[in-house]
Amino acid sequence: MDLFQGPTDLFGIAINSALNKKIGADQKYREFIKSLKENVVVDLDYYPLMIKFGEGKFEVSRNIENPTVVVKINTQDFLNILDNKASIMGLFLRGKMKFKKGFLKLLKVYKIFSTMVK
Amino acid sequence: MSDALSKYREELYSCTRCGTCKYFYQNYSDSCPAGKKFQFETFYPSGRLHIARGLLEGKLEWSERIRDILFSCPTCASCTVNCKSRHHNLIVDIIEALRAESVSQGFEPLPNQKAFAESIEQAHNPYKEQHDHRLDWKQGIEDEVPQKEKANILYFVGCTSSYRQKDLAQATVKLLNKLGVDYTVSEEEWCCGSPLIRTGQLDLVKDLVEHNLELIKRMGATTVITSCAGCYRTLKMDYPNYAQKLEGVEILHITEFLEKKIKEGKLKFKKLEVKVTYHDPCHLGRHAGVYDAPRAIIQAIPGVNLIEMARNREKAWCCGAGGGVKAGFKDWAVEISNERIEEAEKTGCDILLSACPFCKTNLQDAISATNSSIRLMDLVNFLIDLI
Amino acid sequence: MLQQTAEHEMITEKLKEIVGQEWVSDQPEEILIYSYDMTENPPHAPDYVVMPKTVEELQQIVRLANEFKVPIVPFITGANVGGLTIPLKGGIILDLKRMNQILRLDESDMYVIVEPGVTFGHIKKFLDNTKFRYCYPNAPPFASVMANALLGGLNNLSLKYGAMSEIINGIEAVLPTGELIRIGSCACWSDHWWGRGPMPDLLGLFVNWQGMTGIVTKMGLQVWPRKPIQDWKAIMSNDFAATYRFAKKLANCEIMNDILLLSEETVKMVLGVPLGQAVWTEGEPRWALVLDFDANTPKEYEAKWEIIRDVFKEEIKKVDPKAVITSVDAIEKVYGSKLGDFKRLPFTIGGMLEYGGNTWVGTYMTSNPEMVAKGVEKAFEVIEKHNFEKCLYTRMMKGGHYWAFRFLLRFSKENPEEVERMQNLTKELFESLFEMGAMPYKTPVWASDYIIERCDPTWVDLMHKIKNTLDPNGIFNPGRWGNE
Repeated sequence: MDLFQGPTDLFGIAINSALNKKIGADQKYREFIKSLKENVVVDLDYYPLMIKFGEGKFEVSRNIENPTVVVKINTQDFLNILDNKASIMGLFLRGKMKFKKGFLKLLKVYKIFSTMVK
Repeated sequence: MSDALSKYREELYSCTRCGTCKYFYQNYSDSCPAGKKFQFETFYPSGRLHIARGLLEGKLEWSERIRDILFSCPTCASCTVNCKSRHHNLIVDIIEALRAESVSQGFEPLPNQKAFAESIEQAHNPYKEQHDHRLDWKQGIEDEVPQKEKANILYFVGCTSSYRQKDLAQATVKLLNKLGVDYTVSEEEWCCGSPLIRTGQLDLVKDLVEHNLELIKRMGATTVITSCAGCYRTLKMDYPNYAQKLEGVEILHITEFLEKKIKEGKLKFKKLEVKVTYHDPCHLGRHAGVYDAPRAIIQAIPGVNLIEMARNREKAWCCGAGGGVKAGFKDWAVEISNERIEEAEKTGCDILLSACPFCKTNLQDAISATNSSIRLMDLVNFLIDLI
Repeated sequence: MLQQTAEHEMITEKLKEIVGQEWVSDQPEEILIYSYDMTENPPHAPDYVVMPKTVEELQQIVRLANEFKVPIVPFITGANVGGLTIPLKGGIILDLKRMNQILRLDESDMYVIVEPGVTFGHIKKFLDNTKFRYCYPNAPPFASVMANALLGGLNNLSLKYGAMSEIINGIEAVLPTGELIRIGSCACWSDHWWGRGPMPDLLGLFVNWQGMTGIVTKMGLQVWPRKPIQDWKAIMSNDFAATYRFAKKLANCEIMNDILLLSEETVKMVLGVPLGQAVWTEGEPRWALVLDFDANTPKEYEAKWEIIRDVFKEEIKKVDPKAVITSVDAIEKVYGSKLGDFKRLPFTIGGMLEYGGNTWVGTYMTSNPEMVAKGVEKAFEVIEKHNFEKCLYTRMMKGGHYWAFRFLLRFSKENPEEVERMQNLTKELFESLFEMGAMPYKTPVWASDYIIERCDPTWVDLMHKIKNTLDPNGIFNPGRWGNE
């Protein structure tokens, strides 16, 4: 049977779906995601979500444990990125996307999300 | 109810009969040949699942009518791509399991379908031909066909090419010879078992599977190539259900193999200015997901213009031959194919190509029945004049 | 239900003479499959399933049924979600799928004439090759256009035009006594189906009568020009009162095709979240809106989009700063085609239809904001009590004149306890909403029985009189709306 897998919260489903879709379609992105070991928290104005990368896979959940990167962004801006009405870099430079932790991972985070939405 | 069917209990209860299986999704053309023909709810995929539920609940008893309803499905799998429910990928498996259950309950397949089993038991092919004539297709090109004890590649010819469409087998070996690959054919090849699996006659299947797997192992083959979509589907997807999968052996349809060779730069074609269209065989396309390889080959031929039919790839209308329908419902099988020929004609193509000898048989019958002037060729036969 | 008697055999043979033997079945397989549908309504077996092709065949079947007093129940795809094609008193199921032609498109007066078996998918495919469009429900493509119109279903132009019954221009029908009638302008001129009046409008004798007064064999339905620009926006919000005010105000701006207001549970169900797990949790957005609009020019599009944004800011964003607005394209990018399919009606909500059981309590009611809010609160309370998912699906109707208020209820038919629990839920939910002024459409028989006891007895009396006059033998879909 083709069973639903992954988180059941609204934004968890979004990130899980988008990541899986991109990984399925883009081998380079797949290899990149497999190489990650970070616990990335996307701190939306609704609620924070963690994407736990490691051992060649990822898991999205509302369970926040040992974050190594925390990116704060509001949901409208996140959706604007998807709608091609804003860019990640633009939001970052305007202070609308902030790193609360793990600033040095900026480029990795940029690559995760910018490629995901292409 | 047998274990083989009871294991689908959850799937049988997940169908609401929403009707999505009746159309190609968001194309809105009919997708179910049996539903289109017979039109009672029972003849659609959802109807069959609900019949199974009725049997499970004891509200129905096995009968000839149920047998007829079950065996009128060409197992084209369009329902599996259109259904949006979680059980979608198992609909054909369930119908085949129902057929096996029907047989075990004493409601045997239709006489022409039953004849497969008798013939395969006696002569390892469904065509009532003698087994020792299996390599007669070599006639005229004997020196070109290798028969070795060991080779990297086993060309699994299949019964239809061996006994009926011998030109396909000949064209395939010419291509393989041109590529200079290390391959062999074998007179010890038996029917892949597809005619039996599709018609629920499973008693002999394990023996066929074990025999053919033993042959592959003995040959030391790491690749098995077949030019029949039915054999391909069976070897690749059904065999693991019957025996331990052979490690390190890759099953390829000839189109997948040729596509690889084109990418490696080892196969080039002469120019030909012609308009073609391509019919996706169900067992190659929807069952096994091979849509791109045949198209890549066609598009690698300079001058050839590929014009897709309105229903193509996962939306391809079935040729009508599969699932035992050609044997059990001879006239209806051609009727189904007539529709495909009409669709091909609408493309304005010069040649209709396909990649399955069984599709070719039925499409050719439809061309004759409709007096169509369209020319039909297997892709391999088409290529042989262009290398 | 008739026994396998000599009379049954004789009727079977006569039916075969009328339509051909391959189009008649009294076999257990068909009898079982046609005895139930996806809903929680209990099954009832027919005696025959017959598939006519022509109006003449239909008339002959009706005369035969009258002669032997055999009930007749029309069936096309069985997707009415009200148990309306379950033959309560057995008899003949008339499966009308073979009558499936789109007879004509009139480009000047903008209507199509369809036979009963024409589905939404069929009409979409046909009209996609023209400059016209029809209106579509959030339903699988293999559902009958005519049945949905006759049952007052809703669709993605309901904001403009109301229920589907309001866009019928005329019909041809076989009466329960076998005569053929035309209603509308087509009663005078067979080529003119431009409207229902101005003559005494008899269409009401068929709309919402659930096949009790005749079998409609042709229907003229309005279509509209397809505009070059079409777009869909999505909103996620948290405050119901603000969200509803937004919907009402935007409806009153008269620029939209459709405004759908959903609970987050519904969105999750559409996404395929498993049964029982489509629940809202603290912190998540509570409501979703899907807005459908079109335009003739980019200027018109920008103007409409500006209005939408302004109303959003004024009514929602001011009180609900976390609310977001985006395009359905953007939503589709992350969530995939399941949510993107809102742009591509008709479509199948897989998540709703993969547990064997699907039903709803679907109503039309006042659009008064206080009543609506009360209705939502009460409904959520009842659904939670019976332990099902709160999948709210609502639509502003006819410019805001009324409101479609519906709960999509999926359940497992494998589990008899769950079926019974669903029967209890739909009953209590319907009764609660009815008491608040909500009227169900595609009314199941147990709901119509309830309504009859409570509505104007003069109305009930007149309804029965009309039914008895048109159907003196009481054979057309008997057992519904108090008609035995």
